[in-house]
Amino acid sequence: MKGRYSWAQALGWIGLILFLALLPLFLAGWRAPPSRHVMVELGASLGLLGLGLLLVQALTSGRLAWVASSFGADNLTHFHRHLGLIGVCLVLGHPLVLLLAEPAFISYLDPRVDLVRALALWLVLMAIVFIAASSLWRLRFGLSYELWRLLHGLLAVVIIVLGTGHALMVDHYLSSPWQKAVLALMAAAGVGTVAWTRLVRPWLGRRRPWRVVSVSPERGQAWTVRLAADGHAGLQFQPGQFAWFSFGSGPMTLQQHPFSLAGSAVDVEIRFTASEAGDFTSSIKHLEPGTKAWLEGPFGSFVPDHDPTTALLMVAGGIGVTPFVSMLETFRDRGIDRRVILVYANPTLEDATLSEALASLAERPGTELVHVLEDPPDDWSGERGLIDESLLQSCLERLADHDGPIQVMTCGPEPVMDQVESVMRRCGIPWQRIFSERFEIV
Amino acid sequence: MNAMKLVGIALLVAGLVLLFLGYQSSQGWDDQISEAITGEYTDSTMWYWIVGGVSSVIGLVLLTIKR
Repeated sequence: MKGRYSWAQALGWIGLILFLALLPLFLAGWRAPPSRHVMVELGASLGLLGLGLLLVQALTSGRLAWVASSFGADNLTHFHRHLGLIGVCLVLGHPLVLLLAEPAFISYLDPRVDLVRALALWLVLMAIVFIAASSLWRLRFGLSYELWRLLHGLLAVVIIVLGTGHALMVDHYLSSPWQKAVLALMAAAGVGTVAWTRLVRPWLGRRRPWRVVSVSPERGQAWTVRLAADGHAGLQFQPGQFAWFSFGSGPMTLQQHPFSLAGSAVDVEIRFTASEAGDFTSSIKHLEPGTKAWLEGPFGSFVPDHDPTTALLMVAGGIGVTPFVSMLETFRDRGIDRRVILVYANPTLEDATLSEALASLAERPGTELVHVLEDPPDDWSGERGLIDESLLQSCLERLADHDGPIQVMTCGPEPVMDQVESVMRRCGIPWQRIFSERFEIV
Repeated sequence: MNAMKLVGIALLVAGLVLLFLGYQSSQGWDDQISEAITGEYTDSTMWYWIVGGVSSVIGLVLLTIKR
């Protein structure tokens, strides 16, 4: 199994992203006209740099598997968020600095001078403020994830098209046809990428329907949904990856939800297990066998090292155990014996989703399952309380007997993953061997 | 009909109106001169087309996508 980030690929992508982000500025600097007041030049540069950063955002959304595989979908989404915020600040700084330097620039925003231009520029400014605010405080705004995602995509297109139109029509730096053509091509690629991930790819997915085979209850108020491919070969994935699922008559829907693929990568059927946490997950139990389903994926780089001599320390909290079940089942089905310790934290044993399946998987040689219960029964002889430093250190010591390197993987509530990451760093595990799966981005 | 569809229709109609205004503006004498000299229409006309196009496409997307 392939499981490492490709450094060469990641560096290549970072180089390309930087180049594309700086491209509008390079274009403007090519045989630039005589310079104006330094503040005017600074204001214009902020706009061009901000536009470049916002244009490359289409590549870093985490929905392009060929980009995400180099970084990990969650890392890439965090990068997207931070890069976007920097881009927003630069673009908002653009009119502010220009107006401070030369108040006459207010004519660009004055509807009496040019109604449609002023409306377009006000619209793009409001779109930028809204896209940033709704991404930072979606829940405070009471926006559902689906509505936020729709608005995010639409506003991204508005910003790309109107921002590029503005840069092209100001006609100061980007006056030659080839400069305009390069920037227009870049904007078209950005809009095309958004259209591909939001419209074309889901639409193409209608040829690959799935059907719900069964929905079964699990411990911890969770449900396992099994799906079978309907008239196609199914999905090839690596254990630990996730996919976006939607249910109903067609794939062109806003109701798309990410779940880790919980079954063996060898199975023809696929399955996911979800705990009741929100509107959609609470309605999963009502899915009828035969319901049509649609998948986009697989995504993610939360996969174990392909080298079978690498020992794995898996740390799961609650429903975060599902990718580890997929890994252990895949090892079993492929006949791979690996040294694995799975630490699994829950409030009580009744909350430990998929614990029966894990008990059977833990019987394999080299596999160890450590339940950690916050509120254990009186006769409990296992670990109690929360996952702490001493427990993680003792697991590392047990794995130290093993000859190969150690890979640490954690999935669960944020505090658990934060704790695991900081303890592992203190224990000298290199950061590139610590993998976390963080779904909660907005 | 939900609010999103209504917004979709409004944006589509507004977009088509702007595209029509852009066409009318492109037929004006200032645009004809601009087009003859620079090969491009005036900024006003271009903005009508850009904003009209974006608005129409977004309207269509909102009308197509299911909740």
